[in-house]
Amino acid sequence: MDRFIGNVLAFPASPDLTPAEYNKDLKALNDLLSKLSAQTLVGNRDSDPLELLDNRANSLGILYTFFARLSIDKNEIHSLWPRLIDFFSEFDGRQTKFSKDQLLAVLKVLLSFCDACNKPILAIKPLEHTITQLNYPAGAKAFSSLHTKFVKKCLDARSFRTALSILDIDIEEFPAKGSDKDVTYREVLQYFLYGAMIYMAMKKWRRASDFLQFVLSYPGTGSAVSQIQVEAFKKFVLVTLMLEGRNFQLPKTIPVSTAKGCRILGRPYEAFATAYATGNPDLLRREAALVKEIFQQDGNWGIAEQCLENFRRLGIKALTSTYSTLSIEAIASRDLDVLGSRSGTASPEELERYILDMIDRKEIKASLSHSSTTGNSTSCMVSFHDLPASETDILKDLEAQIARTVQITNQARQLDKKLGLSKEWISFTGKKRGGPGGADVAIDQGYEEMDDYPIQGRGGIIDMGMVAAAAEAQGFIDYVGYDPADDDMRPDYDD
Amino acid sequence: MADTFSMVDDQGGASGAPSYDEYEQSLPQQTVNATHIIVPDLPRFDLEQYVGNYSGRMKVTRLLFIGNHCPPLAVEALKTAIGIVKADRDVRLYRQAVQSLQVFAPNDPDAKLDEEWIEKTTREVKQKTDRLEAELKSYKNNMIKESIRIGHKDLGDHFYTTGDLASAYRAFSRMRDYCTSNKQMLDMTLSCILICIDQAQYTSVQTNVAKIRNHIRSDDDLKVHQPKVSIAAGVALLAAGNYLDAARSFISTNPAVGNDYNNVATMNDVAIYGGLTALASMDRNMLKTEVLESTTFRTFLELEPHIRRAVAAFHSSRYGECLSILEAYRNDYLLDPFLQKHIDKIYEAVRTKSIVQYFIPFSCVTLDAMSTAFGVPSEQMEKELVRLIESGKLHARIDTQNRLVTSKETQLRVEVHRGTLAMAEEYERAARLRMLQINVVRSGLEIKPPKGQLSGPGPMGGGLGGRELRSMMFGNGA
Repeated sequence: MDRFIGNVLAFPASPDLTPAEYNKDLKALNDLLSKLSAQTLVGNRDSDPLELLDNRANSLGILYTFFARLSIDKNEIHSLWPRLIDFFSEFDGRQTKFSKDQLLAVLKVLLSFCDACNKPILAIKPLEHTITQLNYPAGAKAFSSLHTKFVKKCLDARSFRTALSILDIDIEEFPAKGSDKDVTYREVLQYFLYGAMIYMAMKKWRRASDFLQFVLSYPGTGSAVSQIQVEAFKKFVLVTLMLEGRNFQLPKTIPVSTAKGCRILGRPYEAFATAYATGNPDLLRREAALVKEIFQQDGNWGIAEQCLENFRRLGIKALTSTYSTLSIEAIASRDLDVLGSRSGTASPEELERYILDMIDRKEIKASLSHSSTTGNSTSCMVSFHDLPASETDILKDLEAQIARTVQITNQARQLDKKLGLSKEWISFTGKKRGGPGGADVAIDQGYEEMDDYPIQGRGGIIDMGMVAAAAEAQGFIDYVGYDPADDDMRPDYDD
Repeated sequence: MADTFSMVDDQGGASGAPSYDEYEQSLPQQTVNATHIIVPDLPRFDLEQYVGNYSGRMKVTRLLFIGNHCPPLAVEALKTAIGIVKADRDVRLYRQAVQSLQVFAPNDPDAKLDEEWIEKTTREVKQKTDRLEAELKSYKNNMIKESIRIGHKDLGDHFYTTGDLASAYRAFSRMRDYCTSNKQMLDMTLSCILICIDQAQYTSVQTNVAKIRNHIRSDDDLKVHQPKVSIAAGVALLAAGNYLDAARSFISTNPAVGNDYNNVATMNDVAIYGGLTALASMDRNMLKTEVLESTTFRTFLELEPHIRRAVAAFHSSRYGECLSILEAYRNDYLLDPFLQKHIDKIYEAVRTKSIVQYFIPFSCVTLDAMSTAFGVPSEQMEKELVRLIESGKLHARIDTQNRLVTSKETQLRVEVHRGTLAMAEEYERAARLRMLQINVVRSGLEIKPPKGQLSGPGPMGGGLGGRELRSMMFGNGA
């Protein structure tokens, strides 16, 4: 018993072990702990491992203790849960990487407990920490079934802001084929749909649109369309209206079969979007009244209402490019407020406040001037100005964008390398080579595309993605002698 | 827009045997148009004189067109038309003309179908057709190329005058194999073009024009045929709405044409078509160099001095004058079968162009100055300006307080920066999306149809080669 505590406490031997040594020691400790009996791990009243060990420094020992206690008596969760929550919010993912099964098993018990007492908010913090620690070192970039559980819990608990810490990290990896039975396409789709819903709640429309777009362009076998995609389509239509204010266009990345299926099932949404894009307030009011019930059933009426609210803003914004000054009365007579009752009810005072509000939010740049021409009736003129554009700001944005583009291009090359080493590609090229005359063709193409290589590297932002494509036909052979130094992208964007 | 002009000819064509593929495919979709254009006032021309300028079928076509669109002239026009059609023995057009006349003058003696004549003529036409076909057959048996060609030509001419345009086209195009000289080829293609114009088959006109250009080899050919080809091409381009090319085609027409091609268009027509399309499509400099200073087109313009005045007024920035000249002749143009459909579009284009051109030298104009320049009330002017600004044709803003129109300042640098940024962001998003998709496929997480409905593994299942994966990613990502 004491030996167990001692062993756990003795790890790691010194803080500056090399990763290899660390792994070796960790593996040894893990083997040792897994052989111990549950009784030993639970300990006794005098030396409770949970008291003696630290959540962070001795995560592995604590994990095994929890595992043992819960496997002896499931009901112990009722007393253990506060400690479990602390543990999952603090543990060190490096230590638990060889004992993922135990970790997930314990977490599962905790989650079902949270479900049972209907307190989703309890599970958020542990899940968040676990996601970042689970697939050390990729962390939240590697998709796991916990991602979906986490956003679901955040939605249930309506704590959208906390969800952003995970959602804002772009997923870069999915579990390798067959390695994780808990992850199916449904989990992935749900994660992105829920994520989009959270972004929508936070009014981050661009990001929501990206998430939904991914759901819609999710690869499928044959013509299979998921119901989740149909839901995403409905939301995507409305989010696009929010973002662009005009008729949405299905992105080209969406497979034809998916688009077809979604269109059939989401027809009211398309009709609404078409009415919206015409800019005709009467038409839009009529269409909105028609689809209201359907939208409410789908739970999308809230966004639709925001779209309708936005209609007025867009209308006023559009005026800025046509007029330089316009009286409040003239704007009020334009019948832009589709949310309110029938036309002409917006009073000039209300509209004035509305425009002031828009100016405050920096949506338009304008100034109001009152002129008391005739007695007590004042007329108010709105003067629109161009939105200021400071070149330094834009250049700063451009710099940041270039950095991001370089980064994503590097990711693309990494991925391309992985693809080049994949079984499918190797057998594909093998077949090519084996076929009569096929080899020559492949090689010729390879060289042709190689010729483009240096030109594209220098071509600036837009061409960088092509670099990876150009490297494509070289096949995996070139990657065997791959030198990371060559892979370092240094675009000469300074000139 | 199914105006009577095309209806007449389509019916003429539709009854023909459907063996000629090219023609059948290009049959325009007949749509019954509710907005039938009626010109209630008298045009500026004198009907008799106007129609006297034309020959051949075009004369009848124009008469019928006027009869259908201009009630004040309808009776006179239709009666003249009936006379000509009877002489031509064109039964179909005769029925049409009489039907139209019944609307305007039900009691006129000509407004009754002459059944006896119809029967007699139909029989005669049939006999002649049979005779010509029999002759052609015997020529074919004799295998003499020239005779066969002439046989086809006679048959074609016969079909053409009696109004069976589809058969005529078929007969003429069959001559192609028997043409031995370049001249014969040219004649044949010209006949085809003429039939196509009569049928309002403007795409076929364009293909035939392209064909004929290959056959013009000597300078003599060029001199003789250039005007006809230019006019035919111009008419086809006009019908296709390509005003700039139509204008260039008309302008390049050699004035030597005289009355040679008045079975399509007179020299006056060329001046009008060319002038209007040029006004609609060219800017001030082009109008000067290509229209006013053109030596060939000057001859045409002299025939229609008001077109010349309108072009000159536009060039010297007197836009109001130009527009009022055009407006005065609107009725005339509405009664032209080639122009009718396009006149609104052309006038609209001229108007838009004049407003935009007017505004170019100013940074700020009062609304009143503009409305006097264009001769419309200022409210209407404002509406028009708003429409132009909203459609992005005019870069200006309206100041309703001081009633001014001010030009927009464009910050090119900023625009380019913004554009670049937007493009880069778009690229980044696309790239991320593609990578996610590829990762999904790599992990075998594609959507699979439920097991029960699975009908064997799809062709895309599982074994995607790397190349496909990558092309999926970069196919339209960049």
